[in-house]
Amino acid sequence: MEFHRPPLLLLSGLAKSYGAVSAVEPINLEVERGDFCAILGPSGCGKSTLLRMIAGFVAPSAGRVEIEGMDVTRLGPEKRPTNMVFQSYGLFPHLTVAENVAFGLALQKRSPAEIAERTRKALGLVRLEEFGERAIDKLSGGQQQRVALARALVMRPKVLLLDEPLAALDLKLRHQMQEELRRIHREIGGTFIFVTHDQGEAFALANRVVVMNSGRVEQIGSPSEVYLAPTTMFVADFVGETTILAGVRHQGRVTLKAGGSFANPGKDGPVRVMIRPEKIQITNIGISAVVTDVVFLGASLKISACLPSGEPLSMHASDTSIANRIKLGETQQVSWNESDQRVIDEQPS
Amino acid sequence: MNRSEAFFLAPAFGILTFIFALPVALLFVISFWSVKSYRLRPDFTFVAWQHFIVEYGGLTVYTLLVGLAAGALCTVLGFVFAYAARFKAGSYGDRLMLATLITLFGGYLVKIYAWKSILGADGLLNQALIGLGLTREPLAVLIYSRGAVIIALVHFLLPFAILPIYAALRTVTDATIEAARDLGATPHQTLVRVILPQVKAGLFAAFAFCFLLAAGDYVTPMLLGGTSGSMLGQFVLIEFSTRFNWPAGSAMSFGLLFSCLLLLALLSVTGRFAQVFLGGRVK
Repeated sequence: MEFHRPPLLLLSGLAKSYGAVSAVEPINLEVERGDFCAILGPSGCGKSTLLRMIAGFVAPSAGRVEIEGMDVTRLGPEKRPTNMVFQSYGLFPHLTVAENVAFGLALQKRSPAEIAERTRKALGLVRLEEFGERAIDKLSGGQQQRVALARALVMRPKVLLLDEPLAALDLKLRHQMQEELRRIHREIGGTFIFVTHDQGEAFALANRVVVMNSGRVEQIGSPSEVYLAPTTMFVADFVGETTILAGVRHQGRVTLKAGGSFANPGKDGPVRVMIRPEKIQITNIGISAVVTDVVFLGASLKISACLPSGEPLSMHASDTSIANRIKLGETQQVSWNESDQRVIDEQPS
Repeated sequence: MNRSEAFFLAPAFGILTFIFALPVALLFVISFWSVKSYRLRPDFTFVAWQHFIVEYGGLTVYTLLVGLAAGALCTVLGFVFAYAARFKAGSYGDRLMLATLITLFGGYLVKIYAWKSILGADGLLNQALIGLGLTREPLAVLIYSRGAVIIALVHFLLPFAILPIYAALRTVTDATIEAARDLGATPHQTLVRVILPQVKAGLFAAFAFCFLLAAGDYVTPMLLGGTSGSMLGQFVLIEFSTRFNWPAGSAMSFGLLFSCLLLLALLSVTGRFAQVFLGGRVK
């Protein structure tokens, strides 16, 4: 007999609507212990509402939230084994750094020795050991972020929720905090779920990415699956740069508007073909493309071109020595491996 | 301070110096003067202060108690109202504040006379009580009592408590309240440990405002207090007007002012001690 542990977090049919407006359509999601899960999507796609439903701040209109097999759908945030790092941090301005971190433990009536010890450890984890007695308004944005993180982690949540945790930080600090978050996740081996609109951040941190668009889950997978094998047009377009070409499938063969055809089983009708820029090469034979722009990026060369069908194409060449050979307005032949392209049936809209 | 700062500060500073600070200082000096056949005489005597302490000591304590009661009631009611406006009324919060401001245009005497007609012997309240059969004779205690004075003062001063408390509550972010819940705080714990400590300056300002205005009032007790609800201000007025005893009036005014400030200072210190010893802070 095999014993199945229930997943750490299970969302089944979880949905939220405000009157007739649907904010989050029914979502099914399993998150396992140790997962670092990103909910990625443009603003207004319902990702924050989803996170707040997991935390208990928003009551779902339908569906269930289960943590370790226990139904917590009807419990408020104060009763859930989850803790949240808020986008605006929500630190208590009248308390010191250490008092902020100790707040939840003090409410649990822990012994002063335990509170002091766990507070010290949590501050050590975010590298703020020396800042315990500081006032909140004497900290920088990055330090406040760390206090918010320590305050949530000290509670030893089963799931740590982070709402756009790095959005308020500048670029350099954001990269530093990404590294910190990865390190902390490794050190404590917890389960993190965070919301972001930045695909770079999602890829840098998460081992699982949930891509959302207008309240729907578009795709769930590892960063490489989402990047290399997007299952919908939206994912292909939103996650990274991509070239999307129109084509028609007829009797198991797709013919591109831009020229060229290849075997591809499926039902007849219009399709879209997606290719990532680094998978396209300049070759001797292929589709002709007129070069419209060349940008030298240091490690690579970004070439934009226009296909005979009028569709734009963008490619990255890692061999920068070809820069001299590529001239604006000239026609080049481009091609790619069939295994690197994704073919998606166009949805009748 | 550079020159342009001095330039901008000068007018207000000048006005305050010449029509507030100097007259007040002069009035204070007068409390050590004496009066002979209705004429003020420069002097250095403590007669007026002695008179204040011996004759009006009890009334001063009573006046402070009325001020405390009005201030405390206004602060509590004001907090409840401002809390509801900030957290429960959604987008109507600011409109409720506008409505609160408008009540300040209602006029002070109008409110006192309104209470006169509500609490009077043939007033609204007595007629309602008689109509309900709860009493046969009109209740005389309703008007011309300490209770009537405090009710009218609270009615008049409430906006002065609501506005600073609401302003303080507006700086309490939703995120701090959500964070408290997330860390396991009950609504009561959130109120005591997160909201109240963040607005304590606003609460104290509201209390100080209402307390000082109530303790210094003389019109409300004159019209609604009868004999049992008199306050010190009424007697200050008599000393200055009918008795023409400016030193006595001055000593009484300053005596009341100093006792008020002393009381506020004591409350502020006790508050700080209470905070350290009784929690509100999480150590």
